Amino acid sequence: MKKIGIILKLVLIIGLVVAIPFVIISPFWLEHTRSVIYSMFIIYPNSLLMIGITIQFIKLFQSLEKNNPFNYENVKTLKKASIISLAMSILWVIDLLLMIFMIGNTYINYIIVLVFLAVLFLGVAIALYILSELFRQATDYKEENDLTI
Amino acid sequence: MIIVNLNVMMAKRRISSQELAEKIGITQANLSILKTGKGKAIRFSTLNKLCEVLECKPADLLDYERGDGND
Repeated sequence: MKKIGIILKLVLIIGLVVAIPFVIISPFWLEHTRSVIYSMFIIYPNSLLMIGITIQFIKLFQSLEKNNPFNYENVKTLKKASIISLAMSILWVIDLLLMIFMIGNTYINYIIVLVFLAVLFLGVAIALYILSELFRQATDYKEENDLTI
Repeated sequence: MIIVNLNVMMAKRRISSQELAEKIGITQANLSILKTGKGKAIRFSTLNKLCEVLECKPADLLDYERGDGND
């Protein structure tokens, strides 16, 4: 448990360090100024939220490291991650609308990707919420078991 | 609510927490939880050992008082 916790934490931290510069410069690879600005609207807010989720998971893996995953702090962490994921899903829908109505980009490829991302993050949000409820119940049981002498 | 009178019984038998914990085979931390009434439940096996060591009946250790306790 402890080793897995440490490895996952390291992977997330390395991923975060590599991803941040990549995300910052990625819109500038595009050719048109308008595309750059609109990509910033899409990429930057979503990346910020993604960093939020990653931080929550680093917290979660830290508790795995301490061999004490079932506590109310982790329930809160999972719930936060679920809310951030929901916000991300909503943001992808907004991006989709932005793409269609403001940029006028109706290429089916872009639309499919954005719809897929919106549905994916909605699914992740639901899964994380269910997981947080499971953790809450498990923590309740653990506490009761600990206090049975 | 249920009141644990373990302290009274321990004083009567002149037994220390450490000694009692050792004799009934639980940690001092758990005995402390039991003594302070923070525990949520007590196993029959623990109660059995307590009665055996303290030479008393469960009624000497536990009492009931009408109140707003949940457990």
